[in-house]
Amino acid sequence: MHSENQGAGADPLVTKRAARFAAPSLRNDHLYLRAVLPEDYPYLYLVETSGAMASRWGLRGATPAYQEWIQQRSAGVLAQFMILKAGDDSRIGLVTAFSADFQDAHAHLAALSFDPDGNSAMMMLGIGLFVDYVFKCWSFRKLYLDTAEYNYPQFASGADRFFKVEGRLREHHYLDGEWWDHLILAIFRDDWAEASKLVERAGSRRGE
Amino acid sequence: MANSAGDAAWECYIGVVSKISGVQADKIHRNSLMTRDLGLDSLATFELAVALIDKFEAEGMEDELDSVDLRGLTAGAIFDRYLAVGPGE
Repeated sequence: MHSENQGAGADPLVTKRAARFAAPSLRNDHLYLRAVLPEDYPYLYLVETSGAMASRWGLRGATPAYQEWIQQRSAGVLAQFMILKAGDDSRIGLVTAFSADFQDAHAHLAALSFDPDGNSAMMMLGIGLFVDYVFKCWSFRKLYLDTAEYNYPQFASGADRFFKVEGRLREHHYLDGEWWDHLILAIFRDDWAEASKLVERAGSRRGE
Repeated sequence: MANSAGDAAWECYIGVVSKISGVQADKIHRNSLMTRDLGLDSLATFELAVALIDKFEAEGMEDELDSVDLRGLTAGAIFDRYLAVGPGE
């Protein structure tokens, strides 16, 4: 809302709005997000090329040369953070927003858990914090997540509540002798409000 | 019927787990209760953790979380593992 106040003094309406403004947070009581630093690169390179998720995530089993991997990893990235546990700073995962389309107001998300067998609620909390951050920083209407069908059971319970399944490419991926569908999921800004409250509740320490 | 603080906490815990997992409360046993055994994925585990926080707060039983023993892990340890909300933190 604009007011007619063009003078040097602060517009009361703006002052009121500014008082309500809350900067997007990268931290809660349990974890925090921080930018990827060069000292993270060796760890991420090993996770992406040799870890439990190596054949199931971006590189799909390939092992590009280290320098080539460094050059490629920031292509098209809008924002990227390590998820770290508060207290001991242990690494939980990596979240990325990329391929932003500002004209049509959507972007893509990717998330990599460093403990894919852990069914970690902490990873989900980190992703939630990141989605909050992206929706608060940019005016995207939709955030897309692409996933291979073999990764989907890790978070399938969120369908139609946290995200919608918008597309399916049949037998798009090959892994371990089988063909798997590729799923295109979408998080809608309008639907995210409820999930955001859950993230906020989970982010506060019990009893405080 | 609960006859101790620990039993009350257990019933509280099982009630929430049953609701989130869809598994009947009387089918959940202390020696088989792990989120994966209950068919919970990462998102459902996250929701379970949040629901447990809410329920134990609502019941005023925050201090009882450690009394629920789950296959060698206390509920507090489960919180530590999944949401890092362990007592005393």
